[in-house]
Amino acid sequence: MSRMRVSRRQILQNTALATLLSPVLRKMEAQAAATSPRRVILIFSPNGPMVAAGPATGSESAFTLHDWWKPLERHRADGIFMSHMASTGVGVLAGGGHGIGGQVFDGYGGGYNGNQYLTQGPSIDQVIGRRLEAENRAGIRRSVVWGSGVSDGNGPYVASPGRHIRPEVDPSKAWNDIFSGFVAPAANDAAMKRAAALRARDQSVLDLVNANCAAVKSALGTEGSRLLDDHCTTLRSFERNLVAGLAGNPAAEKCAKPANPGSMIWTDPENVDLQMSKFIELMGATLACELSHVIAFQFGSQGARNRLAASYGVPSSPTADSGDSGPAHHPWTHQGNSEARVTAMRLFQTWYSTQVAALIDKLKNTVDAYGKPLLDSTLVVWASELGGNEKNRDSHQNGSLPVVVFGKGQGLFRTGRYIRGKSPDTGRLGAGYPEAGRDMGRLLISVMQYMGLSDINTVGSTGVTGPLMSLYA
Amino acid sequence: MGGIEGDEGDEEGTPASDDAAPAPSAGSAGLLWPVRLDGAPSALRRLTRDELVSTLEVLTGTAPARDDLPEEQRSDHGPLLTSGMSFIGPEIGKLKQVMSDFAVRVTPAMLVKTGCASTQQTQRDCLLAWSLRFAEQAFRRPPGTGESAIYQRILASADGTKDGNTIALEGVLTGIFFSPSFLYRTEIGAAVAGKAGLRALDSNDLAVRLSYLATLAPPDAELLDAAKTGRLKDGGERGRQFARLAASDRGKRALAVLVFEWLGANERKVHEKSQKYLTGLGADFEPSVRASAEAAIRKVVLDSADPTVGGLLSTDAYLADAPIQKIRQAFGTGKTASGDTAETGRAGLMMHPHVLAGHTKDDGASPFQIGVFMREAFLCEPIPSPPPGAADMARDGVPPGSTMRESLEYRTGAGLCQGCHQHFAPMGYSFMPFDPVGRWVKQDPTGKPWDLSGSITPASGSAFSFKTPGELMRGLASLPQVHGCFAQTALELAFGRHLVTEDQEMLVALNDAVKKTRGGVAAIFQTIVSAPSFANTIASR
Repeated sequence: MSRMRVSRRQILQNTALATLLSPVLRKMEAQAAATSPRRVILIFSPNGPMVAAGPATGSESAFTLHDWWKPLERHRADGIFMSHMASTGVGVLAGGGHGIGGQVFDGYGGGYNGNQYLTQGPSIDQVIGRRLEAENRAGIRRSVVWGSGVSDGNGPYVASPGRHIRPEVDPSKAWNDIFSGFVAPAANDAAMKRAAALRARDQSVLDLVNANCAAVKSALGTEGSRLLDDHCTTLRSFERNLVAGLAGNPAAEKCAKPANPGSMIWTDPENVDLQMSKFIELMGATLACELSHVIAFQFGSQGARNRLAASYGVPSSPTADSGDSGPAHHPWTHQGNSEARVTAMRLFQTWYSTQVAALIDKLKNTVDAYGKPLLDSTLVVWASELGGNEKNRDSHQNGSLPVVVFGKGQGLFRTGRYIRGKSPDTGRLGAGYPEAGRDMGRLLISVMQYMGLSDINTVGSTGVTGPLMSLYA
Repeated sequence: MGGIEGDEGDEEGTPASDDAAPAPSAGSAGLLWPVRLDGAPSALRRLTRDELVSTLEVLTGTAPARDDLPEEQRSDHGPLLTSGMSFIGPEIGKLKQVMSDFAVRVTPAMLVKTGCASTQQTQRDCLLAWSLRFAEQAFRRPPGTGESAIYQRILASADGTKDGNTIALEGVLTGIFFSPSFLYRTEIGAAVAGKAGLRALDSNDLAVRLSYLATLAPPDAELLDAAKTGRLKDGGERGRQFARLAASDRGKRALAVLVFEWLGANERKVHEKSQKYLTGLGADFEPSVRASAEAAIRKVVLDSADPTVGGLLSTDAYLADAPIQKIRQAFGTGKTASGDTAETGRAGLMMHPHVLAGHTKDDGASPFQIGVFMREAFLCEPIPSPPPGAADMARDGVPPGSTMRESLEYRTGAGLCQGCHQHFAPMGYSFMPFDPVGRWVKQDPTGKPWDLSGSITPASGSAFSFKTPGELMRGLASLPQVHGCFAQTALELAFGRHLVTEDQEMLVALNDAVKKTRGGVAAIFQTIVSAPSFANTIASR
């Protein structure tokens, strides 16, 4: 009898463990078969489609993309299209609207320092980047945060409580940050000698800065640790990169350095298409050259003041109760329902889809140092800040959230599918709404585990545990 | 309701999240304005972009573009306060790039300044001595133990050749400009007997605090001499030094930055507006309109016999400036026709186009944004952020033909919205005619005349009514509560943080000075720098 009880418990345990660990086991198998580093791109589209649930309808295998997501049709075999998800933390954390929706990638919710828009913890791009850095597999930047349009308001990417990261919206400055120091190996003895002298000098420069950082931190006591740990840690990673140099980066000699996008008024909406094409080029090159493995991108901040070129014909919104107006995404989300509002939502959502589709093209067509398309090892997660639904046209709902994941993750994820999430069509609350938020949290856990943070089994302060099992092959 | 005194009985109710806002202590302390004592003292203070630029200019004669430096995060509507703010990972990468590029750019000129023209070890010794002096100025303190050895290593390539010297000095400058001792100010201080939490600044740190308040830059030789000889311990001497520094060109720029921070207009915003509003203004409009506002500040504060806070809010000293004339002239036709009228009555810096551009959105006026700003910045009465789901609380079904004001009043007329909006919306509505760059649009988009009237009840007194933005600004300009609120902002900028209970003695002194001088700007700054507590810092907690 005793043996029987033990045996049954063992069986149950083994079953549960097998269920929990199967993605990890598969991941390990996949890792053994591939040598490309794992990469992730997070994409945030501000506000939401408002009047359309998207991105697809139908069954898991026989589905139709919504018109506004149609530009992604050519990549349907590479994507997992999820509708009716909900912002991370919905039903678990206090708050709503932008206060929760803006934090779709962190799972902490707002409320830092009494401000509902300031999140209380880091987003997963930062969590992943720090781990990669600590394990010396980050490239020259633990992560990058880029964006299109103007850099305004509080964005989805957060370094620490209350510290939202302002994205770089100038592709030229982004290029400078990543590629200006990326040079081919010295061609002759004299050049090699000079390069060695520069490396020695730069090592001493970092010695100076590191020593100074440690001294200031020490003088400040516990406050120094709190405020300067990140600063000093980042400096040490610069040092490691310097020591490793090109020798530590096998991709360096095999990837193409992109041209500097050059100077332009990149925040002018008339340049937004060019701006996006440059960022897409930079994303591909950054990953292929292994200068960073974590890219966070946003089409706008919580304020969603982003605009398109005039040729798209976005109608101009009257002044909204939010105080803004004109042919931007945000003011329309504060207007009552109208044809003009639907038109504006359609144009923005279709444009976002078009840009994501172009990025996937880039990832398919760029080969990494191991001879494989970037998309083989790159997970792309595109999440909207707020949702949308034909049956519930509330302007700031956190449910009915469209989420799209691209990439098989070295065989880990099963793509070419549509998954209907658990949030209801109508109402701000109700059955399934919190569970959809928990699933979004689980999706983030899946992303972190994919990137090698296999010991992480929760996200933010949601209390959610375990990966989103429905993603896996 | 954000702790606004007298709002506790708001029958409309308030969002639960509002309870987090600490109650101001106006009245109970006998002060002219409501004070929030919820600061978080820190011994570390990140240099702002303005401070970095000024500091590098002092050190090298030039600086990187302000816009190339990592932008600080503003966590609320008030001025930029950087105490306890450090650079975060993504900013550090950008900073390193900017500082490295800058070091490369200035090295040739700095090599000349070193005066070192020898070879081999003599050259390295010369550059080392110069580097240590330069580091002392940049770090605002003498070199630490062991630093000399590191500089020697960086300078190893300096052999007297142009290339060798350049590589070496670039390294020194990059290292200095990227070091925390350069990028941050530290105010650690020493314990004060019998006063827990208070720490007395040493003379050097006191000079640095005074200098950055007055000039956004490190101390000059005269101030350092005053520090070394112990004279800065005397409040009167600090006042004299401040007045001397404030009268310098760098001091005038620092004053403009401080006033712009108070006015919420220290960032470039004009270029972000929709192109249709910028057409015809010319490429130099943005810098020239800011220069006009800076000049107006100088006229009020430095050229006037009796500079007051009220003067800043009621001056018309800028009306004849060329970029302002461009904005004020008649433009366009029909419903979008613009141009100043008698109703405009521009009064004060808040109605200056540079400042207005800081409070409008890309395509129009933003009455709620500007109303909230004025309530908080001028009256020190905080407004809580909208509750979750605020947008969905707005009423749909705006009656056709409604004016912009009627539409917004209808949308926000529901109970919960109105509870907060009543405190700031009237001020915002009076600014509705201004377009994104500060032109006065002559009528509502419906073609109806504007209704700009309203009334407000400040925490310190009775309601006053206004019919135009000019009347509103003149009314605010005369309020002692507004003068005191400015003094509080000046103090917060001096300390780089919000206030705490230990600041009450200073607040009382400021209250007296504001009363006595009716909002005298010079008196406010003199009171701050000469008060005994200016020489102290508060331990972090």
